[in-house]
Amino acid sequence: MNLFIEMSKITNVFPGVIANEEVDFSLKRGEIRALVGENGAGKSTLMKSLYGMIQPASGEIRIKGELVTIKSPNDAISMGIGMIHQHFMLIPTLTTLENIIMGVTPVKYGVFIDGKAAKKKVEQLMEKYNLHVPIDVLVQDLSVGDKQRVEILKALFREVDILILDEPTAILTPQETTVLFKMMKEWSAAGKAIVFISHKLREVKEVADSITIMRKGKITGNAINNDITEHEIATLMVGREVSMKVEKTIAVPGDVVLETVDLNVSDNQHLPAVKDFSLKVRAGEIVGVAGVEGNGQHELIEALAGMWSAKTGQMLFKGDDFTHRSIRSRMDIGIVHVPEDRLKTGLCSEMSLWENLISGRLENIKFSRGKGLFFRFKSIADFSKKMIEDFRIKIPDHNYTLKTLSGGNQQKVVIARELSREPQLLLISQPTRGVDMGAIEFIHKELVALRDRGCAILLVSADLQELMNISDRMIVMYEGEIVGEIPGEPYDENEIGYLMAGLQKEVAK
Amino acid sequence: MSEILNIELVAAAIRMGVPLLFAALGATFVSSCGMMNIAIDGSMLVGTFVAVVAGFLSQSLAVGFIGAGIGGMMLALLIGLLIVKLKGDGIVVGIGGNLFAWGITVFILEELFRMKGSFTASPVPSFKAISLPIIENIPYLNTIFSGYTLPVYLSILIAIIAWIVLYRTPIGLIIRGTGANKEAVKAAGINTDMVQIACFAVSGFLAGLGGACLSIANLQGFWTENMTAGRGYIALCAAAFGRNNPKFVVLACLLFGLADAIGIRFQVLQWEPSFVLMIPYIVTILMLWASSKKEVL
Repeated sequence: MNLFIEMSKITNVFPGVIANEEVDFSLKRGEIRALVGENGAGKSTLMKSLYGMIQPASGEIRIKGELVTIKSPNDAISMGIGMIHQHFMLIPTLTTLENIIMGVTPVKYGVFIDGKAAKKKVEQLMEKYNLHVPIDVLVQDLSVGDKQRVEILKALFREVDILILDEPTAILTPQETTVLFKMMKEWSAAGKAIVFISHKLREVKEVADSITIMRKGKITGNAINNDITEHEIATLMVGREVSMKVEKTIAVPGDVVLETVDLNVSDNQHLPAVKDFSLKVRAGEIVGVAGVEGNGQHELIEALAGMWSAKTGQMLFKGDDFTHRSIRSRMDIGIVHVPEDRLKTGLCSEMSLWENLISGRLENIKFSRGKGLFFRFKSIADFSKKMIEDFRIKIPDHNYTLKTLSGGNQQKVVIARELSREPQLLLISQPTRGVDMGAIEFIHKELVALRDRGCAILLVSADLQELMNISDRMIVMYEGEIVGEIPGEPYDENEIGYLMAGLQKEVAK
Repeated sequence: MSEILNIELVAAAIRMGVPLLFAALGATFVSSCGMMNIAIDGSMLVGTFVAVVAGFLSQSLAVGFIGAGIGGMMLALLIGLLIVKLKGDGIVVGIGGNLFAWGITVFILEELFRMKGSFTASPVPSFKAISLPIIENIPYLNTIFSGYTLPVYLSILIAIIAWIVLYRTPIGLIIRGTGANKEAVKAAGINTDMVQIACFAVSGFLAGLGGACLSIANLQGFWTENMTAGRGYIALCAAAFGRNNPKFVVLACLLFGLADAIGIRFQVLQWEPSFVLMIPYIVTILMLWASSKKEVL
């Protein structure tokens, strides 16, 4: 039987939302099929119903020709389906080995863990699939790439022959991605089948045999890789033409707005996270900060925004030291921060749009009388309406709570609030994480427009493509230090990748 | 001072520590799987009561002791279902469980035996001290190691089993994994809700046995309203202080038992009784403060 999976007319319904509507999906032995679509298109939902994490409302699933109902991940695993989640499903305080054998542990005398047998089996697996990870090390001490390999080993240990990879490259350096793709091709050659969920079209073109495109819960296209172009895929994903590159003029940098001098910041474990960091950002330029996540970018931005204190060093705003100023007084002089996690620090999703829009400036004369004592509802409503219009936020009206909004619309709310302060220095982290393509295009344009109005922008992103698209120049962070400065376009992705992986010496050779 | 600090004190500490150890081992299971069973105290109280009542009615020590465990388990199972399956708030449900245990025991006592506040009927079968051969003739060692009731020896055995289960068996790996990252274990194809509910059941059973130690081992078949006096909470502290590892939990319970024993000794010196009764609780606070300051054990 060559057809591994046949899903027909799958419908998944969440309260108020149809996540999948009569979706057909199939997968052949030895095939790598990419499943692409914007965030919220229903890719993950479809795969979760295949992995038994959700029960579809209607539709049929056949595995190797047999009609099945998959009630739990356990069922899926026993049918040979494994899923590698976008967010690692690992236990950081246990070892590689313990994570792999969890739930399918070899035993001796009927009750005790047979550590030796387990280890031998895992080592054979590592050998066979060329996936080497330190076996007795706690998972929290592994690199991101290693963690992903542990996830894959976990699936292989359960002897699956269908692997679902949910956005596996989101956290990898370009080099690690290349290694992953090589392995994927080896597995498919060995008869396993792979579903590759992604929205990075270039990667999809590189690795997939065939491509399924989803939009708003429906399939909008199925194609063999060679028969379709990136541009066509993008159009099918978004439903209209999108410009994948932001139009912008060459930056005309003005005076230095932000300067850091030998800045040192510790992380919450009291370990050095940012080391002797010196940087200048000028008015009217976007400086991109590249780097694999967890190399000090987070701590840098938090220290600059005042959410975390610097250990030593200086931060200057137009020459004035603001190292020890409060968050509020930083805002007052024009330093504005768009945090990386909109749900955690950016918004209060249980509250309404207008409440979110005025948070942080209640005492503004525009919004209240008597320095925050009484609201001016009329003028708040006018302001909210203007924001909805200017930033094209899709919301019925300004009294609605934000929790039902899509990620892209929520992000637009944060951006609207912060950009309407007319910042002189914008600190912005992951501006388009989990945001659909239409909104990405919009946010990028807004950032470039803000730059053209003379704002200095420090942009941190895990998405290298985004950085290359809108940065006027770029720095690369590795283990808290600046390991590379790229003065401007054209950017060499390979070079940046090497710098991100901490391999600058190799480059020098 | 020699009335307080002598070799007998060690024996008293062990005696006072054992009821705590049963409950604390129970708490260890629940904490390991990532939950908190505030109602350990309630299970313990149910245990003290069932041990006396079931023992009296059946005139069987075994029925009293095992019944205490089952009684504690029933309460914990209810609490576990409410928290894990019905997503009740752990603190609210737990406090409810403790108040329920207090109320139901007093209620049954009044309805069934027409007694108020304490159980006074006799005979209630209870544990007698066991002298270990050979050791009983060696000075000092006999005081420390011999002359306890059966549950004292049993508690050590259960502590060892608990350690083996948690750290040497697949189910222990699953329990600890569930505590560290429930979603990950679920994704590995395990019904984590069942794991957590089972841990609640185990905790209730052990806490019930701990309660029985209070009423039919340390005391010879006597029960009074709310007789655990918050020992279940101290057991929770002992589990936390022992970092949910049975090896250290044993030591923590010994320390708390020592505080309890010293408190009782001070009564001999005719100190203000209410101050004396405070000692174990003050020690609890100090120990938790110390453990938060630095990794003590």
